[in-house]
Parts: sequence; C-alpha cells; structure tokens
Amino acid sequence: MLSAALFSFAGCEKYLDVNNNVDAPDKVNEGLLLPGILSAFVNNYQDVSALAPLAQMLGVNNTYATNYYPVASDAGGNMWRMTYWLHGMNLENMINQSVENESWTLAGIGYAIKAFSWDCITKYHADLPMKQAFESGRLSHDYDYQKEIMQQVREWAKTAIEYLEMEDNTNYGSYLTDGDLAYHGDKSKWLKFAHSIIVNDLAALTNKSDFSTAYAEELIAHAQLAFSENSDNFTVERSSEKGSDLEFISFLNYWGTYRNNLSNSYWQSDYMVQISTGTVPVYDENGNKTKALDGSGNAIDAYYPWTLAEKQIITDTLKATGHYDPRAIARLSTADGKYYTDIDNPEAIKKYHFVGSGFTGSNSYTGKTTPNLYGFRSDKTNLDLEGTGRWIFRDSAPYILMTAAEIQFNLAEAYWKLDRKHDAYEAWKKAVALDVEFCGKYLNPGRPKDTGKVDGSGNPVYAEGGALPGGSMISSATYNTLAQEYLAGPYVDGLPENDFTLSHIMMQKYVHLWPWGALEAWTDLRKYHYDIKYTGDYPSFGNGWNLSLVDQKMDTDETKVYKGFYLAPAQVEDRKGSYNVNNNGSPCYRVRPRYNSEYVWNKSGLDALKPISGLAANYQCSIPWFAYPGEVPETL
Amino acid sequence: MMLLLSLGLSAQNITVKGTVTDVNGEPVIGAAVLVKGTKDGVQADLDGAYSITVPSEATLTFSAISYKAQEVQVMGRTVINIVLQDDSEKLSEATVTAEFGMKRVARAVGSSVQNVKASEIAESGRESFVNALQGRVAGMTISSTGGTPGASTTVILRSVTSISGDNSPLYVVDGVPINNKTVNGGTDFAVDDAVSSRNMDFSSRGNDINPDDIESMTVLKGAAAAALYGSDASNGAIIITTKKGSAGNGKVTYSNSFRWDKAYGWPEVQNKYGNGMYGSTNYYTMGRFGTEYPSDVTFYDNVNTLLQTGFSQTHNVAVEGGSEKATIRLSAAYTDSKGIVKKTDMTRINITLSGHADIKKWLSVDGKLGYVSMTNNKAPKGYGGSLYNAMRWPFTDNMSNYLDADGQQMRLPEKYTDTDLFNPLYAIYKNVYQDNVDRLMTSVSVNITPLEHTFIRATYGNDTSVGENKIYIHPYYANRSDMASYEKGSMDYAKPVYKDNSLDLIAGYNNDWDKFSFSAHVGYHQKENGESVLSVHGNDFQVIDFYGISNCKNTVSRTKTTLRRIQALSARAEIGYNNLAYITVSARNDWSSTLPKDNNSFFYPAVEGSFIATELPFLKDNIVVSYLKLKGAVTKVGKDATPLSIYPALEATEDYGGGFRYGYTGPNTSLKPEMNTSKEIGFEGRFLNDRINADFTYFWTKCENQYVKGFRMSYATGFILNNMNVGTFTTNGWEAHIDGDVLRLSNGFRWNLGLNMDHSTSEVTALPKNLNEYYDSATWIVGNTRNGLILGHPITTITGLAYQRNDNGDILINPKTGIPYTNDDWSVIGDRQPKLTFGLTTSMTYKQFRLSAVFNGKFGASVLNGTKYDMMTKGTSWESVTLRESPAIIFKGVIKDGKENSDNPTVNTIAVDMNHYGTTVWGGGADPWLEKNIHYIHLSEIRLSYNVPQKALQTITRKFVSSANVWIKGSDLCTWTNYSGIDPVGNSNSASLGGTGGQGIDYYSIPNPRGYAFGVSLTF
Repeated sequence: MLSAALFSFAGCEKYLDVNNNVDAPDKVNEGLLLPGILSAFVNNYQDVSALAPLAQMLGVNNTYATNYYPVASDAGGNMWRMTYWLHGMNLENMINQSVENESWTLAGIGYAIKAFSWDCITKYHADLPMKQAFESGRLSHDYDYQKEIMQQVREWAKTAIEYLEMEDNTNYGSYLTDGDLAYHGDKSKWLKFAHSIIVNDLAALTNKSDFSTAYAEELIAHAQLAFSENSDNFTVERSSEKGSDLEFISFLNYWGTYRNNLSNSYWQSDYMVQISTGTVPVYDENGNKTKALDGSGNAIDAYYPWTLAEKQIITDTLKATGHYDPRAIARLSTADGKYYTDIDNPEAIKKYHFVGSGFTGSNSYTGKTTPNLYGFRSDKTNLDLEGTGRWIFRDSAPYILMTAAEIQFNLAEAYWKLDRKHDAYEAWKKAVALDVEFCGKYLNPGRPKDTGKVDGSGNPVYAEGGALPGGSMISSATYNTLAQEYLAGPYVDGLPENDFTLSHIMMQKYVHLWPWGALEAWTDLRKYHYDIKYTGDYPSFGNGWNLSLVDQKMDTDETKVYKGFYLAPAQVEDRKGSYNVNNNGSPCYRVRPRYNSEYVWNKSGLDALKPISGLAANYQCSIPWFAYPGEVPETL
Repeated sequence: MMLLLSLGLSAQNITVKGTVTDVNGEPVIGAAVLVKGTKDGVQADLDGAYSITVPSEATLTFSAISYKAQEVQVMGRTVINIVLQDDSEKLSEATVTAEFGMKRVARAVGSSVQNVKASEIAESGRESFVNALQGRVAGMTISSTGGTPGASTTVILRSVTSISGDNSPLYVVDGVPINNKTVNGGTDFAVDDAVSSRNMDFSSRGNDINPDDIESMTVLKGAAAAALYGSDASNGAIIITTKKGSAGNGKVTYSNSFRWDKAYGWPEVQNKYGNGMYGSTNYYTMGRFGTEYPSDVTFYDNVNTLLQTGFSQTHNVAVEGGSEKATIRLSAAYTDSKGIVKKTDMTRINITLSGHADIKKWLSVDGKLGYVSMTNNKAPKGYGGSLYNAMRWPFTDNMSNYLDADGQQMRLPEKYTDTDLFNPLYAIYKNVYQDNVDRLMTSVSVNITPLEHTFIRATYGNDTSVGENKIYIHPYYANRSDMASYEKGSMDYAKPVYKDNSLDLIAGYNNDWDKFSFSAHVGYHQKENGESVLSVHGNDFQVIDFYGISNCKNTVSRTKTTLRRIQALSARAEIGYNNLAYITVSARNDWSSTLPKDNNSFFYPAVEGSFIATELPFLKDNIVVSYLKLKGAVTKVGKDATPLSIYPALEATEDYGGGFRYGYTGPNTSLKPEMNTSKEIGFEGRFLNDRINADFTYFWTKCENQYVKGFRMSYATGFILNNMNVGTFTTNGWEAHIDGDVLRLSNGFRWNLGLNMDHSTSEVTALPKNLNEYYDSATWIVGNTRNGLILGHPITTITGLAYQRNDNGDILINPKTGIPYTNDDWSVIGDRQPKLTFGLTTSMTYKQFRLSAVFNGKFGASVLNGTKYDMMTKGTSWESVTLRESPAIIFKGVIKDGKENSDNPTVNTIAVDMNHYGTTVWGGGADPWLEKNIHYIHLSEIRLSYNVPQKALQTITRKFVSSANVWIKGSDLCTWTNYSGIDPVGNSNSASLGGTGGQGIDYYSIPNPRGYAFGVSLTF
C-alpha cells in the first residue's frame, strides 16, 4: 500500500494540475479579445457626461457643468475604467500574444488602439500612472507626467505603423472580418488610423511655444498618411437589431433610444445653437444682450430675439441660397416639423427654430420648450419614444471616435500656426466638406405623413399607429442639396481668403466634434485658455480670473478664437455666477482621476504631483502640460 | 439472575455478599465480580446483588461497562457493598481520539483539546449538533444567524485566522473530513448577488449530521490540529466519533423529542404617530412622523400575523448487534421542524449504517454509509425581510388580508398608496425560498498489523451531496405600476454538487523500552474537494402562477466548477519517559493544486510537550493535587488559496461583437500559502481526589501572508479587485475550564458545576500602505458602519464615520446647526470581541432524577444596535417618539469655532428641535448606535430527566425494555443583559461570509425562540 502511495505520489504534478477553469477560459486566441476592446470605447461616450458640459456642448445639470467635480464619486471616470481595466491586461495580452505568434496586423491594431486610448485619457486626466501600470505585485503606482505620456502615445502609434507595414501570414479566420468592429480587417485603414493618432496627439500642442519647430512638420507629415475620407473614420459598429431582440442592451449605442441615456437630462447647448444657426448675440458694455425689436416693440424673431453679432462664423440667419447651413437641422433638435410632413421642403426646413439650453440644464427662456436630443419634448414621457432616434442618437449608430475631418482641421490649424495661411484655408475647406458629408451620413429621415388623414385634434394619422415616429427632420436628398449650396456659399468656398481666421478653423471643428468629440473640443478650448483675457504666458489667479469673475475676451477682440463662447463666471448675461470656492476662481483644466481607484487606493501617487497635488482641493484646475506654452512650473 | 461462572474453593473460603450500585444508588445489573488473578467470578443480578465464595484474603475486582473498575480486599468481610464511579472522566483522561481516529494517551498531548460526551449532545436536543456545543467548549464561539429552522451557523475556535477567508474548523467524522459548505447567494447563482448573505441564509452542510449518531466529540483548538490534518484544520478541528455496534445481545434504542417554539424579543413598534413627515400624516411616506393616530382607530397586530408557534419533532431509532468478530449498527432519524415564521420548516432524514469486522488476527475493517435528506423552507430576513416588512406595515391595516379583491394580486396596505411596501405574507405564501440536499457519506478503513508493534491503516472517505437552492419570486410580488423593474417574476435556482474525498495511509510503530515509550507514524494523504454549481436565472413569467424555467421569457444560466486537490506527507514521533514527560514532533508537507507551481509546496512542523508533575515522587498520590500536567506546543501551519485564484477567468463580454475580457479580479501568479504560527502553554489538573477538573491554556498566534481576496487598489494594476498575500495579524488569549462536584451527599445527591471561559485579543500588525481599512461590504448595513479592520487595532473592530472630536475627546458641534460633525474618514469605533466569553454548565443528580442547565454569555463586548438605528431614523420606535416629543436637545460637546482645542472650548448650548427633522429623526454619525461594554448571560437550556428504575422497568415490561428515560426541557428561555436592543449576540450575515463576519452587528436579528420540549428514550 505504501508503494502504491509512493507511486501515485510520483504522479503528483499531474494529480495537482486541476486548477483550471473549466467554465470559462483563462486564455483565448488574441483575436477574441479585439471586439471587447473595441466595444469598450462606449466609455468615451459615457465620459461625454463630464466633457460635453465642460466644453459647453450640452447642457446638463451635473457638477462638471460648474467646472467642479462630484466629490467621492466615480462619475466621469469611465475612460479610466476602460484604459486600465477593460483595455488593460486584455489589450496587453492581445498585443503580447500577437507579437509572440507573429500576427503582426493584430499586434499593430493593438498598439494603435493603445496609443489612441492613452491619447484620449491623457487629454482628459493629464498625468497618469503609465510606466508602473500593469506591473504585478505593486501596491501603489507612481504618476507620469503628460509630456512623457503624449510622447509615448506617438511611440506606440509608430510601433503600430511598423507592425502594420510588416508582412503578415497569419490566417485570422473570422477574427478580423467579424471581430474588427472598426474596419473589418482592412489593414490600410488601421495604418491610416495610426498616423491619425499622431496627428491628433500633436494637434493638442499647437500652442506650445516650440510647436513650429518641434512638432508642426511631424504633424503635417503624418497628416498626409492619415485619414483622408469619411470611410476612413475610426468608428465602432453597433448592432442593428431591435432592442427587444437583444441578449444584452450593450449591443446598442449608449446614446440610442433603447438605452435612453440622453432623454431629458442632456440638452443641446445655447452656444452650439448660436454658432450653428448664426445667432451669436451682441453683448453691450455691461455684458447684456439687447433685444432686436420691430416698430411696435415686439421681438423681430421670437426665437432669436437678440441683436446678433454682425460677423457670424459658421452661418447667418439669412435664408438666401448658400447661407443656410443644413447641418443644424441634422445635428440639433427642433420642436418644429415633428410630423415629418416637410422633410423634403427646404423652405419650410429653413424656418425651423432651435432652442439651446443653459449649460446646467434644460432651462431656456420662458415659453420655449427645448426638445431633448432624441427630438422629443421634455413634457413627453419615455413611452412616447418610438422609432429609432435621430442622427447619431440612435440605437444602431456607431461610436464615432476619430474622423478625417478632424485631421484636416488639425492640418489647417498647423498650417495657420506656421503662417501658411493659404494651405490652412485649403485644408479647412476640405475639412468642412468632410464634415458636411459626415453629418449627412448619419441622417435617419423620419416618416412623412402617409395616410392623409387627421385625427380629432387635427394631427396626422400614421399608417403604423398613432405614436410619434422618430428620426431626422430632413431627407437625405434635401440635406445634400442644401449642403452643396452651403459649401459653395459665402461661409465656405465663398469665404474670401482674407476674411479667413483661426476662428473659422476652430469653430467649424467645434461644430464637427459636437458632441461625440467633446474631448477634443475641450482640449482645443483649454489650449486657447477658454479665450480668457490674461497677460503673459498663461492665466492664473489675478491674471485672467479672481474669486468672482473670469475675465474673458469680448467677441470684438480680434484674438478671440471662439466667438460667442463665455465661461460661467464671465462678465456676460447668462454666464454670471461663481465657481466652487475650492476652484479659487479657476476654470477646470483636467478631470480628476477615478475616485475609487486613485482617491481611495493610490493617494501617495496623487500626492506627489506638481505643481498642484492630486489631493489638493483645486487639482481639477491644474493646467495640463499641453496647455502651457513651455514646461510645467514646479510651483505656482 | 445469578450466574455462577466457576467456583474455586479453598480451605479458608468464605461467602461474600453485597450490592453493586452506581453513584445514584441504581443497581448495576450484570456488574462483573472477579477474584483478582483468576478467571473466577459472578455477575450481579437485577437488584445489583451478588454472592461469591472466595478465599478470605482475596481481592475482588468489580467492573462494568462505562464504570471505573474497583478493587477491594476482602479481609474476611462477608458483606461488601460497592458504589461504582462513572468511567467517563477516566476515559477522557486516559486517551483522546486524535487524528485519523487514532488514540493518543491524553497525558502526552501538549496542545489544547476538549472532549464533549454524546450524552451532552443528546441532552441539548438541538437539530444541529454544532449548536449543542454552545457554552460547552472554552474558546468556541458559535453564532447562529437566527431562530428559524435550518439557519446557518458560524463556528470559530479561539479566534479567526483569516481576514477574508473561511474560518470554520474542520469537521472530521470517524477520521474522514466532511463538507461544511454554506451556499453563497452572491456568487453561487446564475446572476451575481441574487441574494445577499444578509437576507437569505442557506443551511451549513455541517448541520446535516445526526446528533444522535455521535458517540463523542473532541475539539482540537488552534493550529495544532493542523499538524496532521493539514491546512483545512488551521482553524482547529472537531473530531466526531460516531456510535458503533457492540457485541453481545442485540440492542434497540428509540428516542424522541417534541418541542414547541415561541418567538419573542422583537422590538415594539410605536403606535402613537402614523406615517408622514414634519408632523403631518402622509401615507406615501414610510417614516412614522405623521400626526397622532385618532383615538378610535383600530390597530392590527401584524407582526403576530406572520408568526406561529413552532413545533418540532425528532425520532431516532437505532439497532445494533454482533459477535466478537463483527458488529453492526443501523440508525435512522427523522426531524420535522416548523418554524416560528409561518411556512418555514425543516425536514431531515438521516440513515446510517456502520460496521466493524475482525477478519484475521492481523486485519480488521470498518465501514460506514450515511444518507441525509433535508428540505428547508425559509423566509427572507434582515432588511426587507418578512419581519421587517411586517413591522413597517401600517397598524391601521390588516396585513393578513394579503390578497387583492381579485384573489390573485398582492394587496398593498390600505391608504398607503406608495408601491414599495410588499406584503410579507404574500411573500411567504407565494414566493419560494427553499434549499434541500441529498447527501451520501461513505467511509471505509482497513487496519493491518503486519508485525508486532506496527500497524498500517488506510482510510478512504467520500462525501457527496446534491443540493437545490431556490428563490422564486411571484410576478405579483411587485410594484405594479413599474412591473419591469421587478422582472414580472423571477426564478433563481442553483444546484450545487459537492464531492469531497480523502485517502489517508498511515503506517506506525509503537513500543516501550524500560521506562521509555515510543510511537511514530508516517502518513500519505490525498484530499479532493470538488464543487460544481449549475444555476439558472429566469424572469418574465408567461403563466402567472407557474414556477418553471421554461415559463420564463428570459433566462441566464451559469456553471461554476472548481476542484481542489491536496497531497501531503506527514510524520509524527512521540517519546515518553516513565509516564512523566513526553515530547512529540510532527511535520507535514502539503502540495496544493490551488497555488502556483513554484509555491505549491509548503512545510509545517509542530512540537509539543507535556510534563506530568504528579508523577514526580514527592507529588505522587497527593490528595489535593491528584493529577497535574504542564503542557506546551508550538505549531506552524500553512494554508492554501481557494481554487482558481491564480489566473482570473475571461468572461464573455456581453457586448456587441462578442469575444472575451477579464472580470473584476486580477491574476496573481505569485500567490504564497498563508502561514500561521501558534504557540500555547497551559496545564490540566484534577484536584481534591479527582473531584475538581481544571485546565488552562494561554495562546499566541501570528497569522502572516494573509491571503486577502478582492481588495481594491489602483486600477493601474489592470484590475479592480486583487487577490494578494498582504497583511499580518496576531492574536493572543486564554481558555480555561473548571468543573467539579460542589456537593456529593451520601444519599447520592450530586451537584456538579462547570465553567468555560475564554478571552482573546488581536492586533493587525501589517496591511499594505494604500489599504487604510479592510472590510467586507456585505456588513455595511447600518448607516456608515461596517466590520472594518485597521492597522494597529484588533481584527474584530467595527469601523464607522465617527463624530469629530477635539484633543480632549469632546464631540465637535457645528456652530450653525448645533449638530455634531462627522469625520470624513473611517475609523475604529468599537471592538466586537468581548473581554470574556463564558459558558456555565451545571447538573444535579439525585437518585433517578437529573436536573441540568447550560448558560452562555459574554462580558464587555461592543454591539452595533442597527435595529435601533433603523427604527429611530424611521420613527418606528418609542425612543424616536420620546425624542420627537422632547423639547429641544442640546448635543453634548463643544463648538467647532477654532477654540475647540484651547483651554476654554465653547461648550455647546445650541438647542436642536428634533421635531424639525421631519423625515428622519436622527441618523447621526456611527457613534450613537454602538453600545459598548455589553454583557449578557443566556440560559440556553434547562432540562429535567428521570431514569425509570431498572427493576421496575424490567418487571413492568417483562424485560422487554431495558432502560427508559423521560425528560422535559426548556431552551433559550431568557437572557439577562445590559444591552438595550433585541439580541446582544447579533449576527447580521450568514456563515457564507467568512473573514470576521457579521457577529456583533444586530440588525433585526431575532433571538432563538423559546422552546419547550419533552421526550422519551428507550432501550430494548
């Protein structure tokens, strides 16, 4: 018996080799990791809840809208969760396994994704634990500064390019055709994406004092190899199934009607409505808007009652051919035309009105109801949500993450900085044309009246039932007609090169980014220091703001980039107020790291940060490296 | 009857007569009376009388099974009456049942063991033998989660040794470890957190054992038990020896018990103010801050509507018999217990067959088969549980009408138009909360004696059970205006299959040389724990009244399969000198499947020694100190991890495009075994001619490399939760036991008193820097308090957001509101560990009567009065009424005005009108809800039994019945305490939680009901 025991003991290793998960794998083919990594980009959309109010793209009643942060909360920490966890070791394993198996394409895709998500997260949170990330056995993680991170992003992107350019003999089966939710295995597009990441990374540095010498040429060089058409755009596809047929609702777009995350909490902002409709108002010396009245003392236009700035950047309120920008009706919600009887009627469409909300909620001026982003009025309950939503606020719309238009806008800005104004002008025109096409691509025209009958209240009756059908309030054909007119009109092709300004680049880019690209828009706003009036290199307490006021350039200021843009405690009407006392008067410059990761479990790493400690009450006001013209000061 | 075996006559022969009785004066029928040195002898008759003719200078030996033999020199006497002493004490002194069913000489054991007799287990009359140990073992803490049938039981010996893992001792039945799992509602169902350990309690598998099958129990405290049983016994072990058949005339025994249980001790709900807030009645509001009820209003006793008188019955039958060569025992037990909450019950059937055979002179075998079938219907407990909802139900409405007019739907309370108060009666009648198990335990063991002084023993055991756990929620048990959120009915079904088997091969050698004794053995051990849970979740019922998974529109299923294997080699050697001193060295090396290959082997040695002072010449035969053993032990024990801790599983993404990604928990490829070092010293003694027994042990334990599961770090680790070896803590304390006969009268009256006491403290000596507090979120129930542990404090603390205080300890008050400030950080607010835990056993015997009682209690513990918190904040307690009606309150403290730490802080004078608090009277910080220095003493049982005199019995039943005993008993009758809440024991979470658990957190935990029982036990 003892010998039997000893015999079985010799088989010890085999006997003990049972610690394997038989219910779920602990290692899979790297190709199976890709779809989850791509789908995780929903987190970029989720953090728009913080970014869109910070960039004044959407009005929402949350703490970020007030340039503060929700205390002891993970809200706004989704990209953190994605980069470190949902990507995290999944992406590391995908890359490492691919390199090991010489699956160079997938390795390149991995590096590209890594570069992109780290570019996003550093633009969002600035400084991050990077070098010590994913090192096992660590109990605390030191932070790295943004300068190094942005440099590393470009390195990773270059590694991606290197791998993507290598010959790859791997048979991926369906892993790339089906699992690649961005390009379905089209290697050339991934390659363009990798170049685009470098462009986007460098674009944040256009206000560095050494931009022209250190970064501009590299940006321009990569832009030539980057996205050039809208089919190149980096987007992540969503299911086209109906909500009730799904196994998991996460198959659908986070902003779709089925998941219903936008209903009655997020509203198009007044700033976006103003610039998209050419209704940026004039403020008097006290910062007040004045009403434009007719002879009998009534507002000329009840919807846009203010005296408007003479020089609008994107469009104006004239209805003449080429003046009207149809992107407004594609992007924004209107209470008009809800029965879709006029989706092919350009003249009716041109008359539609838009209401923007203040940045802390749905409130507009009295008597006007802001429709929510799905196009329904706030007084309607969710049960009225029928149809599949509007524009990119739809169940099956892809997540939009980076576009060809962005590249052209970045290129235009770089040329501008190099004083190559004509090149800038040409790139800008391309960019706007790309945006016009981009914007039309996601139109989802609503159902027009099709029974010819009306109910007792005079409302049309629809063949498929009585509920309101959803969708865009313009048909694609009409959009295209109006869009071509607009492109040929006085605000784009017809814009004299001499009248072309940096505002045209940045504000058209802002419109293009609305609201999916709020991160880039906020990066641009911070780069230009929110058009705050300061002297010297960058604003600070007493130089640009004090406890009660952020001193902003008025729209008449030639150097003001974002015409009509004012922060909350600025000197103009609807923007007066004050920040939380902890901000010390400063607007927000970075979003604090995820609370339940860093503020509870990694305080030592945060505390070491300079010039403002991550634990300080005003850490959210610490200016990131990309927005300093030079290096980050050691102390303030 | 008098049987003359043989008669040797000699010249000086005389006839000696007399009676043999026990200490109670009962005749010892069949007692053997032998002439020493011969085989000559007689047996005592029905009256205990004997008569024997012997040489006048002979020595007579009187003996009988379970009595101490006595030798008496005749010295010419013709009448010798003998009182035989109970043998149990001698047995426990002489040997202990140690590892793998082997006997060890008690005096050689250097670590702490305590024996519990079968009769004590049987006397307790509990359905679970574990609960029967309450108060009987020093250093054993038993916390039941509540007074309903089948409640799980948390057992801790000495002190916890793991801050997040399982701390229960190992249960070993006849040398074979058995499963003691408790299903975890958080992870064992198809959806995560299907039910919280706070709301539902699945029974512990250890409770399946039939108490009537137990012959004796040995409790091995502390890590010393692990020396041979391995890491599973690092928290100690409970070694159970079951009854075996005996040779001779066959025996049939039958016993029963009938018990009625009555619930008591639930908190009184105030019936002065109705629902509402700010003093105006509003039936939308759950808080009772409305106006006073009108005087003519009818009140309904809704709590009593939910309750009933519990009734339990148990029947045990056992038959045994056999020859010198082979014996067999077959037993069956049936328990049916109806709980104090309607519809709750537990039914259990145990059938056990065991046998022993001597095949050859050198070969014997033992075998056992045990079958258990158990079904347990329960009710949700704690927050949102049946009782909780019944207490929230408006008094003005009769809760017992739980059906709506349609006879189908759940009726909401009258007037109360909000829709989140669900009728608990509807829940218990229409929902299903059940677990059941079918379990088979098999063991065989073979003993071989190949050569003189040697043995080889092989034991194989298998314990397989199939359970079902059901939580089915009726579609109409829902908020009707928002059916979607309650999924229109839901089914959670989990089917755990546990398979544990073990193989132990031991070869040993024993011999004595001159004054030296020597014994040694080596062993090979193999152990396997298999667990496989199939679970399914379904919702959205198509047919309203039908529970079936195919009736669900949506379903999710899950399998959870783990296998753990251990291989080990062990060795032990014991050397004794002249019965005076012993030293034992043991060592074991484990190879575990759950650890990374490089770390999966761990070695742990143990040394123990004993010194019998009373064997020294100058102390020998001392009447005051009849026996004194000094003992000590040093033990190390390693502990492996739970299966699948090294590599985390990838999970299906649940996202478009499919694929896999990691879950929350990160891998740890460098996991090490936990290592505990335990030291103990003490003594055991018998005094005053064996009249008093006492022992005392002092212990120190250091628990290193604590394997902490699921703790958070920066996401930069790549994960949200991590499993790592972090943290060290130490414990130390003492255990003492003393018992003795206070009175022994010549008329047979005997009063015995026993006291068990223990004390332990602990300190967390290392935690990772970033982990300022470790806690289990399942205990975060009451406001901002939880079972957190913090560096430098004991492991049993309660942490909370305490009041801010100045350097002097005064509470800081907000100068604007007059309300105390609360800290932003969690800190220690109290320690749940009592200063002293004790158990008191007492018995009085007189003739055929025996009166016994068991008390248990604690001294100096902190208890979190969560019920008070909840009732105060919701305005349902009378205390909240008092507070509301009191004029204005000035919180005792100093104003936080910058002068709080000066010599003259501003004493608070701001009066706060509690009436203004509207929806909640006072949630406050954590401090007000913690009651410190809580003591209690609980009468857990009192019992009176009567043995029908043998003679009468044999005469009346014509020898059909050989013994009969009747008894009556009261259990859990009362508690004396300075605690203001319901239950000073308090255990907010079920045994599945692990770590330091939820003991000391009292949150709507209802004490065990008062039970009144009687029963009969007969031997044929």
